[in-house]
Order: sequence, then structure tokens, then C-alpha cells
Amino acid sequence: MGLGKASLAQIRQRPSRILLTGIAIAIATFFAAGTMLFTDTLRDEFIRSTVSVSEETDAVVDAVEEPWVLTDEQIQRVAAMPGVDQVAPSGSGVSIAIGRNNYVLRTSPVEGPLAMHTVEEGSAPGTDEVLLSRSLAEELDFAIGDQFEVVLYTEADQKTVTATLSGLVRDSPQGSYSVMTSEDTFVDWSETDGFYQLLVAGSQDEGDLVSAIQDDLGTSVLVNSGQQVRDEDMRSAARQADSIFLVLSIFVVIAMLAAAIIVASTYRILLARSRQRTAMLRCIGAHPGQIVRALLVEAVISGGLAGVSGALAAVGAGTAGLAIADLFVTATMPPLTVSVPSLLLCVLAAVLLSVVAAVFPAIKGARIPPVAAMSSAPLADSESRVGRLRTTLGVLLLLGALGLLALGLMMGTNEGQLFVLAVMASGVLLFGAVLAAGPLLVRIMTRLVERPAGAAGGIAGRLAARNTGRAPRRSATTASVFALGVTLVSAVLVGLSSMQAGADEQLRASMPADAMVSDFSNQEEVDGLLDQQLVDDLAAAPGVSAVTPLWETPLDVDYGTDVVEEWVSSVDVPAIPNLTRNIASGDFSEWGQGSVALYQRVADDHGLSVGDTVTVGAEGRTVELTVQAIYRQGGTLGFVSIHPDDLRTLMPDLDPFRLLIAADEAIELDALQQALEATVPIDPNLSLFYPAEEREAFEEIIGNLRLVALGLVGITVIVAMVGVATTLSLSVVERGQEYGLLRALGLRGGRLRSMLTWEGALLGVYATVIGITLGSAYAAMVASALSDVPMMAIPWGQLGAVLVAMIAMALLAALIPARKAARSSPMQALADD
Amino acid sequence: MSSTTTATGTIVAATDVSKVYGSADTQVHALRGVSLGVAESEFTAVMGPSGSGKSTLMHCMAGLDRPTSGSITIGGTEITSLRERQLTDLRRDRIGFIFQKFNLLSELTAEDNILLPFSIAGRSPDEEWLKVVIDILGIRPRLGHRPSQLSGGQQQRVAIARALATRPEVVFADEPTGNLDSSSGREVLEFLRRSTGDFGQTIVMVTHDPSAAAAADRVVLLADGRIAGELRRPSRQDVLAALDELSR
Repeated sequence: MGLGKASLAQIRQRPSRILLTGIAIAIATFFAAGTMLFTDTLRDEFIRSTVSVSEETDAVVDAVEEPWVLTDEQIQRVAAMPGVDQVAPSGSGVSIAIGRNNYVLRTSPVEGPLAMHTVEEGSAPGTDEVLLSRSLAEELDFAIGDQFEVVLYTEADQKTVTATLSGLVRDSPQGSYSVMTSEDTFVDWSETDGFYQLLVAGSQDEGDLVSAIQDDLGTSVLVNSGQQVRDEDMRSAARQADSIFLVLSIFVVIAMLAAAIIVASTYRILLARSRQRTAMLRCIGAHPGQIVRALLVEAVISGGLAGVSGALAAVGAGTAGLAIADLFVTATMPPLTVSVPSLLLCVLAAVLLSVVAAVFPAIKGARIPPVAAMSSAPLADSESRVGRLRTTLGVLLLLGALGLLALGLMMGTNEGQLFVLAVMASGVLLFGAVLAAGPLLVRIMTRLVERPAGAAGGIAGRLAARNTGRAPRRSATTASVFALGVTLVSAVLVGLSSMQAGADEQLRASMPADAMVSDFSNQEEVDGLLDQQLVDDLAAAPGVSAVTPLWETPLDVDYGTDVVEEWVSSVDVPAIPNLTRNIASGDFSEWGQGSVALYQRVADDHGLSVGDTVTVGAEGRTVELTVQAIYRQGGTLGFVSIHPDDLRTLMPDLDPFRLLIAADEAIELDALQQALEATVPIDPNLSLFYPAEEREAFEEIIGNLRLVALGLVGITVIVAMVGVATTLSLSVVERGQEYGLLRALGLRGGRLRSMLTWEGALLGVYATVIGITLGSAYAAMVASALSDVPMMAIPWGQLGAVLVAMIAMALLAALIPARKAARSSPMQALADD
Repeated sequence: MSSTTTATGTIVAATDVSKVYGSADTQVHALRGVSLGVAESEFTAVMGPSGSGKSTLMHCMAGLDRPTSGSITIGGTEITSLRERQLTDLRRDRIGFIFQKFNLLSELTAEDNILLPFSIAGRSPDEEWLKVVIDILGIRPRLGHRPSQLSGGQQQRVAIARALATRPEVVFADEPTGNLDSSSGREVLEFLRRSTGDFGQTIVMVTHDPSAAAAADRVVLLADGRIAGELRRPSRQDVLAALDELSR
């Protein structure tokens, strides 16, 4: 058993050792197990909600030949087959509108074994009755028994019917935006010839039933077993959950790597501290392998305990989280899916992580010459030199990083994907360079800050700078992991801010006015819903300052090289300032009859520039136009935009496709909305858009994304904090004698405390500065590569907050070690070991 | 070069051992052709001023360091040509060590510390012998205690028990009284003496303390990497006088 007993005794005697080496892993495991639980629960929920046929459905019959419907006769035959308990046709896909919104009309059984949705409140739909999901009814402000008009679009026509809400069903991804009705009403409303699908539940063997139906109906239908359909649905649901898991696992891996680096560093310090002990063991005949094994036993125990506690904590947090969510959210929360194999996998990963982190320090530690146990053997501090290997590696990695960056920049943003990959790989290499050259950087940093730190913090500040530089390797490792966390945080913030800015810019281009009315009725026809009367009404509506019409129609465009039928827009561009942003060349100052503006890609494709001529024609008439401007964003203007006067020449009777409405400065969105809703007739083809609403919705998405992303990268920051705390704690223990001496020389305990606080602060500043610089620079580069318009928004305020928060966290991490240092007594200077 | 014991019972023999540190112009000659034989059941002290090479000599003889030239045998085994693995086994099975700072594992009880060499070797101890050693050292009541609960003298006695438990051919003691008060130191020396007399244990001790050296059967004086003299059963005064002589 070798030294196992000593290892166990050591853990029993000093459980703090396990805490030091285990806590970082416990946090990483908590995160990993949490991710597992989350995706397992999500997968179950997805499967529950995406399965399209009920558990009891035995066969699904689909029409696979013209006319793609099952006849009544076929349905009757199946219903009459022996062993068939229930048959129900299912149909969907008919578009209906309630007010200004469009939904899908469906029919599917709500009773019996085939029911996928059960009526939670009210009753099953009868003739001209519908079911809505609870949240949709809430959104539309309908109660059971309410009647409302529904516009139905059939192939030929549209018609309006009156529907009654008969009941509510539970929310589900499919159910939320669909309107369910009875079979008869479905047929009546949709004027369909029949159903394309039939669900069958029976009491005989599923396989037999499937082949019996198939035999009976022949090849015009395809019969699948219910299980097959459910399996297929589940697979696609599982794929969705898996892709979420994949994204999350990137962050899990980063956090675990951070933990491994921290724990390896902790083991290195612990082993450096027990040099004498190891040397003695070697002296009295322990082989290096035995010493390594003893440490690995400790690592397994530490990793195992950390893994178990992390996994249990994740289960606890998951259960508590769902219970709390249940109190505040109206929808029923799914139960937490606890998969024991997944959790065991997490624990196993924790053990592996711990062992991997311990093995290299252990091998190095065991290499100590046994003679070091002797009184006369000089104890060399192996840590003080920065190895040449490290410097070389650092330089190589830096060169690699710069090379990839240059490559990325050379490729330019045209190669979007490759550019992003190159920049990201460059970032990874640069981080490797920081890790490798860390000791050197820390040296330089401490030399630079010694004076200012001394000026600000007196002797405590100066000593702190020296102490940090004295063990540069360990300071650098801790700081590098910390910097990794800060890099991720900064990258998230800068990336999302840039995304927000890019989206804002795109929104300005696609929705350039305060409000827009669009006509989605058949645009091939000249007569639209946006007639002059409506324009006048809108212009007179309270809060509206201007109404600018925009036309859109397909025209023959002769670029000089070739003639293409393109959708051409036409609007008085200078009236809408948002449209004159992001002009690549030329301008709209001379915009008038005879002008044309082109989308940059179109101009590039046809080799056109400002001053060139384009001929546009329709119905035999043509106009010759001069290119005035080339724009980068085609959200509103499309590929080609001509002046309204020219459009009138070509198509004198065309009604506008869209009205761009400018609001009075003073008016609130709510008031504007009210005024417009009252003026614009309710017609499913007329849509009202408010960019402010879109922006708000997008801001909310970005905000949520920011929270989630910060949560994901936050784990790495926390692991890094643990690293700072352990490193400083171990330093305090190690320097007990030295602190005693300082105390004996008259330094007050409080000064020792501020010295440790300063050490934490220096590490924090170093890591934060590196992290913010790297994270912001790389995120800004990626973000600018990904959007049409070079867009990098540096959120200075947020980054400032990161700086303050991270330094505060470093100080927090230094709190416990600092208190311990302050308690050093002068007697420690005399104590031997 | 003069004082070689070539009696039949020589356990440790160093022959013409030199040790050079560094290379070229920064060379330091720690040992210059030292020959020394340690007889069975003899308590030998190696003395000398700092830098005399006494520590280097012991490190080489105990297989902790390799001489640049010369030969060292322990119980007839030539150890300078052994590989690291074999040296480790040799130290484990045939050598005992006593350190200045006791070097007990703080997490283990006194008893487990004594049994540590057996744990490492994966062997079971000779219970009879263990009993004898423990009783003679008077540490039976302390067996369940941890090092932190023991006085310095008690800790060193536990360390001696650990060194003797495997019945090694030779015990190397490195300043065993260096960290002890004088009365504890005397006790420890007394016990080392008895272990040579009663059990025939061979002991080599490096010390700079003349009183400690005076407890030995034989004192070998080193100066400047060479053997500078030898005393048999000296008194403390003899040792002091010899050291005084050396420093002239």
C-alpha cells in the first residue's frame, strides 16, 4: 500500500488540503452537472412537446399520391377494421387571420387515446368553434364564449367567418400559434377536399395493424407505426437539445480547463512546500513512483469529493430553481430530469481533471533529490528563473497569433467564416502566449508598479509588488486564468454591444421611419390598399408629422451589360434621413427625376459606379437614369431605387407598397400606436410596424443573451477567483516566518493585511487589463467582420464596470488570506517550521 | 589517506573518493581522495569545519550523492555503479537515516512513522525486534501520539526507532542533536551508543558538536576535503583540542 496511508492520514488531518485542491473542480463540476441536468431536462421537455402523435397512437396514415388527401371511404374502411379503437383525421396548414395577425388552422383529436392536446378549460370545439392555447387567448384578450371574426385564406379567395372560443389548451411549441377546430369546421372553413393524414389507435399489435392498413389501402398511402413517428420526432428534438448542449459544453470545457490550471498550480505550491517531506521519503527508500502514486490517491479523493459535491449541488440548485420558477411562472415547469449516468460522468470527469492536474506537478515534485532532506543540503528556489523554454514558447505563440491575425485581416471580411475562425484561433494562441510568457510579464508588471504601488500603499504596496514578482510563475498562472475569465467577459460584452449596434443600424435601414404601414396583398397588381385616401387620413392623424409613400414593383433593369427583372423601389430618399446613412459612394443631394441608386453588391456585380447609366423599363416605356448613389444597406431600398417621378412615368397608376410615417417629436409610442391603429383599417393584409418595438424586442433578446453569456463565462471567473484565493492563502502559510519577522521588526498586523490586499489588487489589475484588452480587441474584430456595415461598439461603461468588479473580486479573494496574514505574530519569526 | 580501518568487519568502505562540483574554472573540490572504512558495530563521528566536506562524504557514503571518482561499498556492495532505482532500494532495505529536523510525517502517529519504511517496502516488520527498540527508546506510551504532541527529544527517539526498525546495516545520522536541547541531546547520544553496544548497530554520524562527537567510538576529522586525523574514544576536550589543531 506504500504511502497511501500517509496520504489518507494527511487528508484526515488537514481537510483544508482537499478544500484547496477541490473547490475549483467542485465549481467546474457544478457547472458541468448543471449543464447536463439542464440539457437533459430540456431534451425531455422538447420530446414531450414536439412529439406530434400521442403515446397511444399506433398507426399514422399519410396520403402520398395525388390529390394528397385521404377519401372518406378510405377513412371509413380503416375505422371499420378489426382491432381499431379510434381514428381521427388530422389537418393543418390553412392560414387564418384574427385581427392583424396570422395563425395556422389545425384540427386534431382532443379526446380519446389519439388526443395530443387536452382541453384544460371549456369544452371541445363544435361547429364554428375553436380552441386556443392559454397564452394566445391571453395575448388576444379572449375569454371562453367570446365571438370574433376570422379571415380565412383559401386557394381562390379569402372569406370572413365568425368563430366562438370554446376552450383552452396547454401551451406547447406547436400549440401556441395555432388555432384548433373540429374536423367538420376545418373542412367547412378550409374548403379542403379531405385530410392528408389519419391517426389510428387500436388494441392489436402495432406492426400487424400497420401492415393490415397498408395492405388494405394500397400504395396511395404510406402507413407508419406511431412508434416510428414518435421516434423520428424525438430524434429531431434530441438533436435540438444536443446542439444547445454542444454550445454550452464549450463553456464547460473552458471552465474545466481553468479549474485544471488552477488546481495544477495549487498542487505545485503544495509540493514545493513539502519538499523536505518528499526528500525524506526518498531518502528512506520511497521510489518516485510511490510518491507520485500517493499524490494521485489524494487527487482522486479530492476530485471525487469535489465531483460528488458539485453534482449534488447542481441537483439541489436545479430542483430549487424549478421550484422557485414554478411559483412565479404561470406555465407548468417540467420536472428536473436527473440522469444518474450523466452525473456519474461528471464525477468521473472531476476525478480525471484532478488527476491530470496533479500528475505533472507530482512527477516534478517526486524528482527532488533525496539529499535535500539533509540539514546541510542547500535548498534552491527553483521558481525564481523564467525558463528559456517558456520565453521561446511565448514568442512563438505570439508570432503565431499575429500571423493568424494578419492572415485574417488579409482575407478580409469577404471570407466571413474563415476570418472569424482565424481571429479566434489567433486569440487562443495569444492567450497561450500570455500563459507561457506570464512569469516574464508578471516580472515586468511588478517592476513597473513597484514605485506607484509604493507611493500609494507605502511599505505594504512595495512589499506586495515584490512578493508578486518573487514567485512569478505561480502569480502568472493564477493571473492568466483570471485574465481568461476577464477576456471572456469582455468579449461577451463587446460582442453583444457590437451586435446591438449592428442590429440598430440594420433596423434603421429596414425600418427607417417611426412607423410603417405595409400592404401585403397581391403586389403584382396596380391597385393596392394604400390609396391616397389612407395617406391623407394618416397625415391628418394626431402625432403624425409626415407620410412618405414607398413603391415597390418588378421592372426590367438594363445595367448596360445585361437586362434583369428586378424589384425596384421608389421613394423620396432625402425625406427619410435614415436612408442616407451608410452610403458607399455618391450621395442623395441631387436626388430627382433621372436618378437611380444601387445596392453596393448590385453595383459591384455589374461594374457600375456613380455617374454610370442604367435604363429601367416597363410595359414598353423606358427611362434612362444616372447612378447618383451606391448604398451599403438595402433593407428598405432593395437592389435598385429610382425617383418617384420616373416611376410615375413608367407605371402611373401603381399604389404604394408601404407608407413611412414620421411622428411628432413629442408624441409617445403608445399614443402614436393608438392613433395609427384607429386610422389604418383592420385588414390582414395591412401590417403596422414600429421600429421602436422591434428595437425594444431585440434589446431584450440581447439583454437576455448577455445575462446567459455572462452566467456561462462567470463560472470561469469564479474558478479564477478560487485560484487567487488559494494562491494567496498558500503564500501566507509559506511566508509565516517572514511575516513574523516583519511583525518583529515593527510592522503592524494591519499593514500585513493591506500588503496581501495589495497583492490581490495587483493580480486583479494585471489580469483585468490583459483580459479587457484581448477580449475587446478580438470581439470587436469578429463583430466588425460579421456585419455588412463595419460596426464595433465598445461599451466603455460596461468595461469600466468589469474593471471595477474584477478588481473588487480579486480583493474579495484576498480577504481571507489577508486576515490570516494580519494575525501573524512576531513569534513566528523564531519558530522553526 | 592514512586512517583506513581494514578490519574484517568493515561495513562501509570509501576508497579514494573525490567529489568535484561545477566545471572548468569554477570547480570546487569537496572531497579529495578520501578513504575511510567503518567497522561493524562501531559508532563513528565525522567532524570538521564548514566546507570541510563532511556532509558530502556522508551523502556519498549513504548513496544520496555520487562521487566523481573512487569507490564506495556498503556490506560488500559497490554502490557507485548502482542505478537510481537500486540505490533507492538499497537505502530502503540496508540503510537507516536520522535527520537533524527529525523529519517525521506530521499526519502519522509515532507508531505509523516508525512503520513507514515497511509501508514503503510493502513488508511486515519483525514484531519482536520492534518491541525491543520501542521499549529501549521508552516511547511505548507515545506510540499513538502525533509528532506535534511530542517534545523534540521524543520526536528524535521516534525517528531513531524508524531508522533501526528495519535492522539496517548502517545508520547515517545527520546532526541528530542539532535541534535538541542539551539534555535531550545527551539522551539521544546515549541511545545511539547503546544501540552499537547492545545491538551491534553500525552508526555514522556527522556533527559539528564536540560533545556529540565525544560520544562516538571513533572521531574522523575532515578538513579541506581530506581526512585530517582520527581520535579513538576521545573526551570532549580531546575533540576540542583536535579541532583547534585543525584550524591553525
